[in-house]
Amino acid sequence: MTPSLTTGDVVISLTAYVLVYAIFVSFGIRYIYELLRAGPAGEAEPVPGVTPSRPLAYAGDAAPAERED
Amino acid sequence: MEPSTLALFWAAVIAVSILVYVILDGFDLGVGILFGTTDDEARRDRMMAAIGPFWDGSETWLVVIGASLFAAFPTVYAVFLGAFYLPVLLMLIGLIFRGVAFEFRGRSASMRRFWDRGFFLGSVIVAFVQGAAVGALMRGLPVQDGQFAGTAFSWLHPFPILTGIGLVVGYALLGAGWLKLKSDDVLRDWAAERVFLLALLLIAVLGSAIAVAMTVDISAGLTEAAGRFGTLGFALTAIGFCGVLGVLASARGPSDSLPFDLTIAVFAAAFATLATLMWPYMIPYELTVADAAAPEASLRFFFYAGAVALPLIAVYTIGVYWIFRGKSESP
Repeated sequence: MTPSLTTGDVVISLTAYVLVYAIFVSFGIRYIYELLRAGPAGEAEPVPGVTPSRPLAYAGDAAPAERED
Repeated sequence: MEPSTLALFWAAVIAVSILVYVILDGFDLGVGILFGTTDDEARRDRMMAAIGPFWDGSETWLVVIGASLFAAFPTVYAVFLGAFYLPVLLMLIGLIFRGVAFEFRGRSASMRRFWDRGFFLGSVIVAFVQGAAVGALMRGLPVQDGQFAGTAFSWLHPFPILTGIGLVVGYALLGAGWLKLKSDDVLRDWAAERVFLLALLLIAVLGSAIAVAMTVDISAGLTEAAGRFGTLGFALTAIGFCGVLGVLASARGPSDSLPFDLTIAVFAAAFATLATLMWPYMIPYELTVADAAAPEASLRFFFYAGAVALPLIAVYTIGVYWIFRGKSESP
């Protein structure tokens, strides 16, 4: 127990943390949503000698995310 | 009561970590503060690039300080967090905002101003509450039976407010010195000009803080500190003051590293002065190193953890600064 800590202090700090993280998480979700809406920037070139059953073989050729602006 | 060797070891670890933290996070918080004083987008991008590889590593040292206090000096940790509950909350929110803004500002078009503002305000708040905490510690905290016995606003007085502003200016000075060191042409000259102005401002703010401590905000802690101010304290203060004069003289000079190096010397001298005023107390003038130390068995256990973790942190910190030495690349 911390004797100097009052209920008011705890309510203020909990509310502040919830608000701050709510702001960041909502922007994060919006950003991911916009990336998904925009979709890949271009079609990946076929990689010789690799089949679609090994999708990770394409990972290095994935199109980089576009900047929003 | 004399502190044990292990207690002295952990006190030294915390002291060194605080000084390293203040210098390393100081310059990147300082760049964040200067960031808010310009609207030039290209300049802002270059300022970000100058701290890009370094800024999040600096906060490791804050974690080292917190963890070492918690483990080795739990009483100090309890008093400190009780006394600075709201300032520490503000500091954490400021640090979180800074970190997220750093990543988001480059990816947002419509909200870019919001993140830029968050980066600036976060930096200012973190610097202010750290400075205010030092001022409030020196001013004296109400402690009874090894526990903080004040309220959430016991720290708020004229002297801590001025030391808070003083650290905002001090960090901005470190940041300006860093920008002069890491950039060239236009930004370099802009930073050199800021070094000069901020060094003058620092003298003015610290002068006011001392004046306030001797007039309107006299406290038991500050009176005791003044009584402990001896030859060593005077010599260290003189070194610090000469350092500020050196910063003023070298601000616009040909050397890109001298203003930053001298600013580090000023911070080290100020830190050493504080240490002489505080020793052997950790919470002046209530809890000594020996009073607050955890049991020997705990200190010994943590010693093995520290013997692994601390050299590792030191090595990668040195590694990062070595790899990214020289002028930073334009974004």
